[in-house]
Amino acid sequence: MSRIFRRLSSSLRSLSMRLGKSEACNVVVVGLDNSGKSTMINHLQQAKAEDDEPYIPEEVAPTVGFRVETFRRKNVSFTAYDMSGQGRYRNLWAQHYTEIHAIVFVIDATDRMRLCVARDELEMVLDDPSVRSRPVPILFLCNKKDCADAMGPAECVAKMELEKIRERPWSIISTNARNGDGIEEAIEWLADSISFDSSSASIESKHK
Amino acid sequence: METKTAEKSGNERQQLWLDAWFDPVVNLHAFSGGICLAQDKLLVGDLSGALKVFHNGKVQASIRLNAVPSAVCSYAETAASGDGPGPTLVAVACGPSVKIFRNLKPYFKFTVPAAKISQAETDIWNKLSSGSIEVGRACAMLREQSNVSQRSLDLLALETDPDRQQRFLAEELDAAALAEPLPSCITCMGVLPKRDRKDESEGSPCEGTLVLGTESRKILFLDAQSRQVVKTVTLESVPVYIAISGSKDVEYRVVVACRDSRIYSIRNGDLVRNCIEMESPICGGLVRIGRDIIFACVDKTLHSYHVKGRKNWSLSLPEGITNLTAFRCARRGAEGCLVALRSGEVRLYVDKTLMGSIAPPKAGVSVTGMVFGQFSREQDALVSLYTSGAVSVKMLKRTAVLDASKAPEPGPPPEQDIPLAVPKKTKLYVEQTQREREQAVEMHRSFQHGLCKLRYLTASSYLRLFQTAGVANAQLYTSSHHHVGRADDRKPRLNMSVAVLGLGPQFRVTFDIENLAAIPLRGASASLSFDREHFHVDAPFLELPALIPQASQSFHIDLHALVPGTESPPLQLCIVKEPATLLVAEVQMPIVEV
Ligand SMILES: Nc1nc2c(ncn2[C@@H]2O[C@H](COP(=O)(O)OP(=O)(O)OP(=O)(O)O)[C@@H](O)[C@H]2O)c(=O)[nH]1
Ligand SMILES: [Mg+2]
Repeated sequence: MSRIFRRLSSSLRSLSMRLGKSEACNVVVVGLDNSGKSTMINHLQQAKAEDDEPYIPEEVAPTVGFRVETFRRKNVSFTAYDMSGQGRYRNLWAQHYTEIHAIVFVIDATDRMRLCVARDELEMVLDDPSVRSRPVPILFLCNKKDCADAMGPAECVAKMELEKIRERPWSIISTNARNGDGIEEAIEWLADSISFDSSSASIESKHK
Repeated sequence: METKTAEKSGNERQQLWLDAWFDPVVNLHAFSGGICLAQDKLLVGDLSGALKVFHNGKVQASIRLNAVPSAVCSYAETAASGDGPGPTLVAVACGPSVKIFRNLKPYFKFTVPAAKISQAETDIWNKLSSGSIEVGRACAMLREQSNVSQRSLDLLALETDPDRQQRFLAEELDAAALAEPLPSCITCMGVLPKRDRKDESEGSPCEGTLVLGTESRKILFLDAQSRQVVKTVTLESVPVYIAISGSKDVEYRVVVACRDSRIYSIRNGDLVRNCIEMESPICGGLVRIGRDIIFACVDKTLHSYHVKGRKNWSLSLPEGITNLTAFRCARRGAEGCLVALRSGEVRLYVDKTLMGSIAPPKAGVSVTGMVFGQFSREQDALVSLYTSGAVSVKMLKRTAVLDASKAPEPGPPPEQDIPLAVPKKTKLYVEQTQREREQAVEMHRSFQHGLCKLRYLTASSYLRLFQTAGVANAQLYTSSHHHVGRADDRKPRLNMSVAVLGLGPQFRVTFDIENLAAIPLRGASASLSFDREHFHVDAPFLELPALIPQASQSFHIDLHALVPGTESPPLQLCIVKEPATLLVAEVQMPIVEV
C-alpha cells in the first residue's frame, strides 16, 4: 500500500518538476568542528553548477551556535541548518531533528584522532527519538579529500561502522568543500533520496 | 532504595571514554613529566634519549637529545613587542640543562649554574685524587655530608657498579675537571604563566617562564628568555614533583613534593614556612586542583590537602599508585584526578568519588606516565603510556555524567539507618541472661569441651575415611587384588587394586592407586601390555597426574577383545616412573561370551 503511494508520489514529483514547480526541504548539516560544514554550504550557495568561472572560497570563521542558509539544486530549494561542531554547541543539533528531510554529516578525513568522537556523535544523532522514528536519509561527506593523509570513504565506513545503518538510506561521498569536488554529486544523491510524500516533516512538527 | 541501586548500576555501565588512538608497538617509554600535549601534537621525551613528536597518530619527528630527558614542557615565547603570544617553544630538561626548541628546531640551551662546592667535599675529592683514601672510604665520607655536588652524587649513585665507578673516577679525577664544578641535574620542570588565562585563549599555549627543580635542592625561576635565573629558593630536600598555579603578573604558588616526604610551597617567590609532612614517600605525582593539593603516597593512599596545609580527605586504595594527573573538565565543572594503579587500572576521581575506571590494554602492564588535557581540538583527552611501550589516547565522552552527587555516595550504606527488629524482653530471655551472667565460666568450659570433642570426632572420621577408602574400593569387585608395599624408603611405595569391568567385547580395566609414601609422586605412568592377537587397545599408555600421598586415585584403560570364546593370556599392568618400574600387576581377563 505504502509502496504504491510512494511510487505515486514520486511520479507526482517528477510531474511537478516538469511543470517547473519546486519542492522545499530542510537539511541539518552536522559534524565536528573544523570539518568543513560552513565551507561546503558556502560553496553550494555561491557556486552555480553551470557557472564557468571558478568560485574562490574565502576563509570561514568557526560557526557560533548555528546559521540557516538556503540554496537551490535540481528544482529543490534547500534550507540548510549549518550547525556549529564545537563541543559546547553540539547539544543544539537535536533541536532541528523534528523538522528535517535529511541529515548531512561532514567528516574531516584528515582528523583520525577525533574519528572516535565523530562516531560517538553520529551514534547520538541516530539514537535521537525523532531521528529514529523517521527514516530520513543521511549523507556522509568524507571531506578534505585533497589533503595528503586524508582517509578514503572505505576507511571512514569501516571506522565509523556505517554498515550498521540499515533503517535509512545513506551514502558516503568524498568531497573537497573548498573547490566543490564531489559536492554536486552529493547533493544530487540527497535530492533523489529525500521522500517528499507523507513524511512532510514540518507538518509533523507542527502537530507536536 | 530501589531507585538508588538502579541509578548505581546505571552509573557503572556509563561509558566515559572513547578510544581515539591505541598503538601497542610504538615503543614509547616516559614518565608523566616527560609527556606534553601541545595543541594537536603529542611530545614525548622518550627514555631512550629522544624527543618524539606525534601528530595524528604518526611520528612526525624524532630528535636525538644525547641524554635522558626528565621533563618536557611547551609554552609560548614572550613576544618582545607585547602583542599576543609568540611562537610555541618546547623545553626539554635533560641532565643539567634545558634544551629549548622553536618550531622543533634547536633554539637555545640553558644550563643550571653549578653550585659552589663546600670545603669539606673539596678536601675529600683532593684526597681521592692524590690517592690518600680509598673510593669506599671517600663514599662513606661523602655520604655524611649534608649537601654534596652533582659529581659526588654521581659517584655515590655508581656504588653498586664498581666497574663504572672506576671509569667515572678515571674521567673525573683529572685535575682540570675537578676544578670545574659539575652543574646539578634537573629533576622536575614547570611553566609559570605570565598572566591569568582567559577562557577564549584556551587551547593555545600561554606565555610563561620556566621553573626548574634541581638535584641540589633548589627551585630556580628563569627569566622570560630562559637566559638566567631570576630567583632561587632552597629547599630542605630534592624536589621531585612540581605543580604551579596562578600567574606571575598576579599571584602564583609553586607546590613542590620532595624526597623527604614533604610538600613545600612557594608563594610569589617566597618559601612558605609550614609544609605538609607525610609519613611515607610521595609517589606518582602532585596535582593542584582549585585550592587543593592532591598527591599519593607509597602506602597506597591518596590525599587531598588545602594549600594552607589543612587536610581534606584521604583514600586508601587497593593497590599501589603509579601515576597521578589532574583532571579538569571546565565544560562540566568537574575537577579531580586520574589515578593509575599498579595493576594498570586508571581510576577517575571527582572530588573523592570514584567516577569510573579504565582497564589496562592487557594484563600485567601498568601506566608509566599519563597526562590529561586539551589535545587536537578535543578539550578532555587522556594520553597514557604503558610499561609495554604502548600508547593510548582516550577522549572523554561529551555526554559523560560527572556529577559527584549523582554517583553512589560513599560512607555507610542506607541500611544502617533502618532499626533492627529487636524482640521484646521475655521472662525466658531475662532468665537466660541472668544465667549467662552468673555461670559464665561453666558455660564457657562446657562449650569448649563440646567443641574439643567435635573436633576430635571430625579428625578421626577423616582419618578413618583415608584408611578404609582403598580397601573399600578393592572389595567392590571380585577380581585380582594386588598389594605391593616396599620397605625401601627411597623408592616410592604404591598400593594398587585392579578390576576388570564389562562382559565383552568391550572391557574396562580400572585401577586405583594409592601413594603410601609421604611425598607426592610425579611423572609416573601406567602402561598395559597385552596380546595383540586377542585385544585391541586405543591408548595402552597413560600418563598419571601427581599422586598425592594417602589418597586413592582411580584410572582406567579401555580394551576391545578381538577373539570371542577363547581364554586369553593375562594382561600386565605396569606403573613406571623412569627409569624404574614401580609396580606390575597381572590381570586375568574373563572369557568373552559374545
Ligand atoms: N584542505 C581542505 N580544507 C578544507 C576543506 N573543507 C574545509 N576546509 C578548511 O577547514 C577549515 C574549517 O572549515 P569550516 O567550514 O569552518 O568548518 P565547520 O565544520 O563549519 O566548523 P564549525 O563551524 O566550527 O563547526 C577551514 O579552514 C576550511 O578552509 C577541504 O575540503 N579541504
Ligand atoms: Mg561552521
